[in-house]
Amino acid sequence: MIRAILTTAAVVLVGITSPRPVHSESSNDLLIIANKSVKRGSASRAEIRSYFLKKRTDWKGGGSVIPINATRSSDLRKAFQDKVLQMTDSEEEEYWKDEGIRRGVKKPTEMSNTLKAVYHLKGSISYVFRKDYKGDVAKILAEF
Amino acid sequence: MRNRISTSMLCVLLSLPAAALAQAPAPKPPEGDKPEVKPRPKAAEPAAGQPETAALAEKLKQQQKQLDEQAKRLKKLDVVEKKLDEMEKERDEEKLKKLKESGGKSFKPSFRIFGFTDFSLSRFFPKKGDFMEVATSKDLTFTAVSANLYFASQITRKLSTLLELRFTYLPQGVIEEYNSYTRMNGQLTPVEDVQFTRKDQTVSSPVDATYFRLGGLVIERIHADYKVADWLQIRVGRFLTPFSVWNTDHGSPTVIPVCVPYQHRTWFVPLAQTGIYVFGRVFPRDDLYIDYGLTVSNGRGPADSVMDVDDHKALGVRAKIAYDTPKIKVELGTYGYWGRIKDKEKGYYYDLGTAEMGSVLVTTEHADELIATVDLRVEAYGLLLQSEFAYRRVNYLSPSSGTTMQRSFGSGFLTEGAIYADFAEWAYFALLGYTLPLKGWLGKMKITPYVMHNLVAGDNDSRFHIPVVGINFKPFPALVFKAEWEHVRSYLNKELWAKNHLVRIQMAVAF
Repeated sequence: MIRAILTTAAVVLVGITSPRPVHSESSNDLLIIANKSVKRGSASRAEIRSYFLKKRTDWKGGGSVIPINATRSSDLRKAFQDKVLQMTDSEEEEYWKDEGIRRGVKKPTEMSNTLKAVYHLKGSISYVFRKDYKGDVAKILAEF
Repeated sequence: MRNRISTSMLCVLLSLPAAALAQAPAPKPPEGDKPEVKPRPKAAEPAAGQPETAALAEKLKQQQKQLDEQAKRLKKLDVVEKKLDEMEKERDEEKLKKLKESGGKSFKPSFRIFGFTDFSLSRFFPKKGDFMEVATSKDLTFTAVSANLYFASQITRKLSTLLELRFTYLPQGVIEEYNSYTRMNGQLTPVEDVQFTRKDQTVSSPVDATYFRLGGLVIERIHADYKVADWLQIRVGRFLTPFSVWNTDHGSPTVIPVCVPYQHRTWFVPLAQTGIYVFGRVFPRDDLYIDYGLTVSNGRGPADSVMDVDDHKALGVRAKIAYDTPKIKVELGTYGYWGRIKDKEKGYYYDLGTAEMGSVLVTTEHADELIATVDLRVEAYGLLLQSEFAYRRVNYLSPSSGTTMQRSFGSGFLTEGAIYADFAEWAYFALLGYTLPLKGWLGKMKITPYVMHNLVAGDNDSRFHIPVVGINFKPFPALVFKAEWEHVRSYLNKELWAKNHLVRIQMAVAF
């Protein structure tokens, strides 16, 4: 009993005095990735949103943006809709229906393997879960 | 350093009481004494014929059978999943190939067809004997007037085209001439040589005498776009005038109400122009953008979609600022337009004396038009506010009797040879809607009640007030139902001229 109390106290003491990490990474973190040809080193949520909603079709540093979505109804797509677009699936669908009528614009292509697509396509941007990211295949622009 | 101190403290803390607190080993039993081990009683053998045991055994057998079947089904599912994965992989490869082609040196053009249509049920309630009783259809009416088809093509990475066609049953049923009467002491006397005529597009095939009813085709827009960059794009052809949120939205699945603002119905501002539109977008911030543009076109005229009748070109300038975030969107725009309308009657002469031939051009309409518009759209937490104001001034440069540059309302009856005076008019509408926060009950369905007010007024003391109340229900993005009540009060020279109301239900589909 006394040993248990002292062990707990020691652990708490270690916890208080150890330096804390700035961000605790989780394997389900969403990484926004871009092809290595893209000159950008980082991007804000608002900037990424404007690429995927095609309000903006050029990269900030120049060159055309090719946004690639994960397949609809996948966990990855839902995570992106929730964390970056901040839209539900039907809101996003409604947006594209309206944009089609307004400007004749079509929604981004969908791929099941977004990492592979970004690796191969110059100027492309997409997203992947941290657990599925393979180092040095693509550039990470943001994490959510 | 901190870590080392913490760790060593931990070691000290952990080691200190260790010896004192270590449990004493269990005492060994004295030698020679062996613990007595009592034999376990044997499990009772099931007596032959016990029904419960037999039933249990049967149940176990059945459960084992079910488990075996489930295992077989899971195996089949595994195979199906593997096949689905392979198909998805193949589809991805195909898409990747197409995307590579679109991004690479050898570009492969793409082409899409999509569109929308709507169907309505309406009933107009004019006052008996009112002029509007004949100007519109007052009977309970189903309508399936039109369908819009889009043909969008990405020809190269920078060059695209868009064609929007409206297929319509019009001009079937259009009234070309009304009966005209004079009335004296309650007696109606028809005016001679005036007879009610309704357009009938019914034709009979010369091949097999099958009846067909012809419709019409409207080219809403057709243009080619070249994108240099986001900040510079060039559009050539027939394009929608970039002057309001409504004109940009313009499709029935996209706009909230059924009712089209009066100023749009009567072309207060030219809804489309044939010419060039140079425009662009810049981002001062990631959530803030500015649109700008310049239009140069044939302007408005008797055949402006096809040709201009003078060298003068209409100029337009567009500017819009937009703040765009997931929860709040604000767009504020303006458009200024200056155009000249001219119409001529063409003829030939033949000189009987000299046998000379020549042309005769008679100007029948010559006026300058100046238009200024402001539009606002705010969306925040389910609330929608949309408003537009337009001012229009027409100055006749020579006496005109043409009919292109009419007032939106209050021109009076057109008489042959009438000369129009300069005029000014203005119009606004404001729509307020709120998408009810019922996600928990309705899921993706949306219900948006709304109110709208439309006013058109002129410097001749004519007014058109149109308040509207309605509800917009969207079960899913491609389908919307609307129900609406519209009240119309018309004032001529400040006197109430007509008072009517209209009820409409519409279903709009985007496909």
